[in-house]
Amino acid sequence: MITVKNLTKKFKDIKAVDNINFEVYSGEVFGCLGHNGAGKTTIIRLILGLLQPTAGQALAWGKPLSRHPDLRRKVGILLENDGLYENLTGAQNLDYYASLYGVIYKEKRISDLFDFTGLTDRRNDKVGTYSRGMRRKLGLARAMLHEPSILLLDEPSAGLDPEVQKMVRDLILSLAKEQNMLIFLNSHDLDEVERICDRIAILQRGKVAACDSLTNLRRESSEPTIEITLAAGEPVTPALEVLKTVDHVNRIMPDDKRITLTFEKQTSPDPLPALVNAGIKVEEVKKLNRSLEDIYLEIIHREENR
Amino acid sequence: MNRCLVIARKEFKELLANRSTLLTSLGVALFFALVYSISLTGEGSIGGLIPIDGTLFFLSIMLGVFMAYSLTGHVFYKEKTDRIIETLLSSPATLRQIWLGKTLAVTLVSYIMALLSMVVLITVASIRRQDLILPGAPVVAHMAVAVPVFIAAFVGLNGLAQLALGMKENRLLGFLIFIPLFAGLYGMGFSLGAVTAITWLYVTLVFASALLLVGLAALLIRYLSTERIVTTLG
Repeated sequence: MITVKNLTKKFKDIKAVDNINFEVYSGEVFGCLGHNGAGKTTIIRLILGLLQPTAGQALAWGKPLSRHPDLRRKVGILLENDGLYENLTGAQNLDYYASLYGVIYKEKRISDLFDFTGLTDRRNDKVGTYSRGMRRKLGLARAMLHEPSILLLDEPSAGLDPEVQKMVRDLILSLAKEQNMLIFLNSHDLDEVERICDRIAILQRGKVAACDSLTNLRRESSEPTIEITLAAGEPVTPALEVLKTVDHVNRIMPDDKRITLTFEKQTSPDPLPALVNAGIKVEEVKKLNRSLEDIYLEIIHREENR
Repeated sequence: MNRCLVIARKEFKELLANRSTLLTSLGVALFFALVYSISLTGEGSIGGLIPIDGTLFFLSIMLGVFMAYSLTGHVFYKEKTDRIIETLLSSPATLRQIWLGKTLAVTLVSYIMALLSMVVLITVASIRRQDLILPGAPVVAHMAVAVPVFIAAFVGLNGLAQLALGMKENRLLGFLIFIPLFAGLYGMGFSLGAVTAITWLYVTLVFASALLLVGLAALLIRYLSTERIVTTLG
């Protein structure tokens, strides 16, 4: 379990991380979102004990990793750099880290990971000859080599082609759900975060602007949106007149046969009865889920305007 | 295996795999060994057994340090520029183990190459004199004990500085070390004539100062933090 309590990190006069709090549990995929310089990498470094907090604490299993190097045995990391040596072969790289982490039966574990990543044919080639995607895959294999309980990932699928990105996403989900691993990841990729994270922290200038599950973030931060498709031949104008009378409507946006309505936050609107009572034929009423991108931009802009 | 030895073994392998650096450094070492072996046997040379003792006494340290200077950057500084050091610092290995493992590997490779250069020097000088030239016991002891400790002290301190300093400062440091080192290798030949004999006192003094420097490096590593390393990655 990771506990971040009143965590602050200052570099001279700049607060890179400003009094943040959250907890992450086993079996959970937790995503940190934010612009460059929002403090995402600093948080990972603080959790790893590479940086000392100016105030507060970043703990793993209730202890700071900086003072408990043996606890790092249970933590796997993949930072922006893959942590691989170009002059060594893929197998030599994994063998080195396996020895550092005291992996038992390392030959079998290394072979299994090469099979898993599809790099078995290249295991005896120098890493310097690998493509970006191959290095990232091997970096991920390195991070999982010692079967950690916590996996910290900084932009895990950056620079990967879509097929490998999917492989990484599936892997992260299976590690969390089947092996009960705690996954903490930083990402710019909103789509990736939306697909795999159980909870999300949105960082803005070192502060947590929002931290919750995507469902709750949607409910709390966004205006409910509904798209109405009128039946063929049904005129739009009468429908617009009816919709203006519906409670909590914020905006009405007509578009040919479709009308998009946004409502006040935290309301549960249902405009269908009003339309039916007015004799307007409706083909479909669809509740639109706002994407994480919409929510993220809304939260970021809201924080900027504060 | 001890984590320090795991790191040392990996660095050793990687240094050997980095053939271009290794061959360039070895080429420079052999060049100086050949130059000095020729001056020992040539016309107007210093001649005799005492000068070869003096040559071996100074050249073994100078070349060992020169090798170490060439290789330290590949083991310490490069790991910072490549940012791999963050992954290593996040492993169960402590900063002290990392530093010690790297220092051991560079020392071993540098020492082997310095010894190889000395063997070349003795062989060439013996062939030219048509007589087997062997160094005295103090010089043999010096090369067996004091030289590796002196190289270790240099690697330890230089590696420590490379971990602690930023990128610009590191480039400046490299320049500041290179100039006197190279000048020393060239200029040494001019002062060798003044060396009358290499006694056990000289050997003891060099060994003691090497031990002191190793102790200093071991003390200073306590004051180096991972935060210092991470915030100077550039």
